[in-house]
Amino acid sequence: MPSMNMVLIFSFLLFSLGVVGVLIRRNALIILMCAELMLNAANINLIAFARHSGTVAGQAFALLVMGLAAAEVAIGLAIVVALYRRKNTITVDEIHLLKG
Amino acid sequence: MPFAQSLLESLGRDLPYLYGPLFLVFAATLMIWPGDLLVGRTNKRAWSYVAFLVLAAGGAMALYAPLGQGFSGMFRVDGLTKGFQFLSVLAGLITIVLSQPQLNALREQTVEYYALILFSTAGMMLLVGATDLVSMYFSLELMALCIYVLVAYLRHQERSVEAGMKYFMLGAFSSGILLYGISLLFAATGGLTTNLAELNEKLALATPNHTLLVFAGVLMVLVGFAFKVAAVPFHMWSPDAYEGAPTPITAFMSMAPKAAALGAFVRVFGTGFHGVSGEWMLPISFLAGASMVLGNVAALRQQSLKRLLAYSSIAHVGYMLLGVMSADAQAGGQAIWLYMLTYLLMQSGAFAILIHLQGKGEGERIDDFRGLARRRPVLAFAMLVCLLSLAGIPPLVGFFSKFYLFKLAIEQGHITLTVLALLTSAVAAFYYLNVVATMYFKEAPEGELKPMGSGLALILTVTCALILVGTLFGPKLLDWTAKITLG
Amino acid sequence: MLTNWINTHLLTFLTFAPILWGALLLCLPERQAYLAKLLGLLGTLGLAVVGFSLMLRLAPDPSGALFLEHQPWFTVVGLPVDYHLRLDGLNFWLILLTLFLVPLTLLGTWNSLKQRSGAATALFVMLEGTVLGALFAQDLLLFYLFWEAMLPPMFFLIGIWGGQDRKYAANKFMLYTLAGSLLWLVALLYVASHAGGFTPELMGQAVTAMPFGTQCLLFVAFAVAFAIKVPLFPLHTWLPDAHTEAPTAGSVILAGVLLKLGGYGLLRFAVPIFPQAALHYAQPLALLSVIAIIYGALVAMMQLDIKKLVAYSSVSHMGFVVLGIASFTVIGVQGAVFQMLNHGISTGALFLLVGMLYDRAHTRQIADFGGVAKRMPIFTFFFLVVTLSSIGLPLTNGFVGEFLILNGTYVSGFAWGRPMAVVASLGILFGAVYLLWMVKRVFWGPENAAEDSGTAHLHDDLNAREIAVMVPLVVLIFWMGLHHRTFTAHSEATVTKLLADIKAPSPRAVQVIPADAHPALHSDHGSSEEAH
Repeated sequence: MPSMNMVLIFSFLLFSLGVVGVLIRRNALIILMCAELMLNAANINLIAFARHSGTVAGQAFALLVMGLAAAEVAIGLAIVVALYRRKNTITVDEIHLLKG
Repeated sequence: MPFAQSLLESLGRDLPYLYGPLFLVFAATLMIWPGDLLVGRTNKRAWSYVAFLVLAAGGAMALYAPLGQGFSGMFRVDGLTKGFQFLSVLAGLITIVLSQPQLNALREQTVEYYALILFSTAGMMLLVGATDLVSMYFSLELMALCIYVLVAYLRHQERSVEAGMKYFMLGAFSSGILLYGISLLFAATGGLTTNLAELNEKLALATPNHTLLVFAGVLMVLVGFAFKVAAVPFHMWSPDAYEGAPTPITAFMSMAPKAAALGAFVRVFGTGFHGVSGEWMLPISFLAGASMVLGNVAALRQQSLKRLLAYSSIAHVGYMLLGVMSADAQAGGQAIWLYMLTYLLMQSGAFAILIHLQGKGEGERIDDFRGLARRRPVLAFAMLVCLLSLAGIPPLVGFFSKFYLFKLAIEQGHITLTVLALLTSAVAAFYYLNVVATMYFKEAPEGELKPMGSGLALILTVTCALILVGTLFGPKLLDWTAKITLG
Repeated sequence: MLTNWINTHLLTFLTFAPILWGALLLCLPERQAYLAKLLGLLGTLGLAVVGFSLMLRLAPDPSGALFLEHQPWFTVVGLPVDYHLRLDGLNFWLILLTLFLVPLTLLGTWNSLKQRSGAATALFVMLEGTVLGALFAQDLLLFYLFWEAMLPPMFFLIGIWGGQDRKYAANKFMLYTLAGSLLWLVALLYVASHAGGFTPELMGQAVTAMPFGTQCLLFVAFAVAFAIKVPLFPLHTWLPDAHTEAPTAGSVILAGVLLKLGGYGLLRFAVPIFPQAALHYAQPLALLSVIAIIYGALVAMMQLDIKKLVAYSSVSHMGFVVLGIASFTVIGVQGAVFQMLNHGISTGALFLLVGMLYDRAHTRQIADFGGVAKRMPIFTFFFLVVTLSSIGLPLTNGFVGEFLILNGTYVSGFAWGRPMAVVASLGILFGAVYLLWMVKRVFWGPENAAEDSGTAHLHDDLNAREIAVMVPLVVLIFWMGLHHRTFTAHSEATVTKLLADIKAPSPRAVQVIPADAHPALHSDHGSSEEAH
């Protein structure tokens, strides 16, 4: 099924974009958005394969993930704001994965 | 309306399995609103008592929940579920007591602190019962999201907020990987199921066509879990997060989420990915070995006791991964449960002393423990019991839990890894004994120590007593564990 | 009622009474140090009296055991673990030695410790219990638990009451031993999971079914753990540090009792469980022990500190023990068992004497002394006797042990037996050199004229208490030298059976316990009845 493979490739590209973004960007907001990209890449898989098999479980899962993503962003932004109040910056130097 | 009727019926049937966590969620919500409106600004301390009672009640409900499976196979209550739920609740209760000195000193008592502990404990209780990747994922997130906030709780301290930030970023990253792994596995089954038991059958069938998909999916789930339990090389958030977080939350993080995540870990890999264990056995043994070595070696260099305990908890996770590697959810779960139980006792005892000494700016550095045996013999003795037990020196109870795990690993044929585990526990013995030596062999500095608060003293007495009693009945513990976790 | 219980649970009593008694003493406040010391001394003395009076009246049962406590204990992941304590020919005298040495040491070092002496006494008493437990234990897991439980008390004894470098020495002692025993634990668990239990019999059976390479690997893991304790060259480096830094009483117990566990473990567990591997490694073992004998002696010769000299002489003397075991002859192994007793008595006595000297002079440097004989004639007498016994002069115990071992090695039938016996006997010669040279420099010659020298601080000779401590040791030295049958008779049957099993050509179930060692005289129940 070529179309399914296309979906996988597309979602993988999206996911990779998210991963690379988290790893190399320094702006906390961008990192947050990239993490959301990763979630949405997963959502694409879930929805596409749910449709492929004709069940709704995957679609429900995707809806829940969206809700979760909103909660995650809310908490993330709150922490970013708290950090901004303390340091007047949202650049995350010490939060660099590649440095460990 | 037949639909509504059947819904009600199934709710009536399934809800009792989850009364414990649901009660916690409701009670915590009520505490925040409208509960908090009724309490004056100066009485926030009262919330600690309320939270303690609520958590204890929730734990009791979970303990007496019926055994079985509900919500279309999403949750399952068995001996392992109850065992790990008990651990999470215990860790939560201990944390509430441990929090008092610092929160009072900093005037940071709020209802939200306790509500977050309750929410995250509820997440853990759900997590260990989850038998579907969907329910597992959301329980995990409920637990994690609350802890991000707790780490950054001291929002006036740069250290705390930075730690929260770092933890959050890497946590979100890892949860993205975990979810993507789940979606790949979902894809590998052809979009049919995420239930662990069915997944196990489907994956075994799907393997020839979708080897890469299954492998990538399993690996990503593994990475997600490795982040959550802080296994090397996905541990980089933990030392900083542990150091920056308020000390009681550090204690909490090193006990409760690890217990819950390991419980879920062993269930997911032991039941869900049992059939494809060839795919993940090697990566996980790498994780285990690396955690043991790096956790212990890094702990060697630490000057701060808080960081030492943080790094050593990485090493302890490495040991517990041996239990996950048994690829048998029941036996592995039992071994991990016992290890976690004893670890929880020892760790909370050590943290009680750390928090007590920290009150005056001491206790962070190992050097501050100089001559504690002369200044506070009882305290030093309690610390000694906890540390020797953490080091796994026989016949203390920590030895028996290690013994159980290693025994299991050897039976599964993981000889090399067990040798590594034992060698690294000799390294661990070195840094734990170094603290002991500092307490006992060095001269004490001048100055008085303030007496211990009743809450901390209670925790310390109970944990030490349990460790010593457990030592006496150490061998029996193993039988006992098997009985309890069989449900 | 209590006597009844003791009669049926003698070994449990001997093991756990000191542990509990010590724990109790540990709770006494610091200002009650005198009381703690007194209670500790009386307790260990009482234990020795109980032990001697009951044990000497026992007679072996058909299996060769003098006393037996055996019941299932618990099951771990399907493996049964037994609570199995056993008294037989192999451990009989080692246990009596322990019971005998501990009260003597406590008395001998009565005033040595200035600070927190009560707690030290308490730890000693606990240590005695764990050592006895390890000596009694037959089940390997039980043995392992006691083996490891010996470490913390010793760790604190060295670390709290030790000399200048005590922290280093304590850590080194602890980690060395711990690392060895952790490796051993892997082997133990591996064998146990194949054997389905922790008893040596089951393990021996399981091992015969394993490939030879695996057997060898497992034997090495076992042997390394025991060799560290002995300590065998090149794993001996913790010993001089531990001995030098430890307080006198710690050194005495370390040399007198703890090191014995290494040789005992080899003989009791490692060799019977892995007979073929043990035979295979006989030559390397013998070679290492000969190196230990010579190397220990040569290094001892170079020492400037009396205590360090004695510590290295320990390495040399314990080398004989392993050499005797590696000969796999009845004479050699008997000699090894005997040498373990010897070394406990002689080296223990030497450490006590060095401690007495140090308490007076506050130095142990050989150069600080000279002409001590004039100031302390009684002390010199005892020191000389003990030194001669340590050298192995005929009529003293040292001679018997070393003679038996060298004889055993010579007739062992191994190609390397004769040359090694010859080289090892050089060790005795070196022993005479370094010990007598030390005696000459410390005791004879003109008095050290320096104002601050050690000799200048020696004002009084041994007092009644110290003489009372030394007399039994000296009596024992001569008794063992003149009538060694008292001591070797017990182990003979056990050792003969053990070696017969090892050297039997066909691989078969190894029986650790001699079944026909003694014709049935008494069952263990009968013997305990008798002891009322």
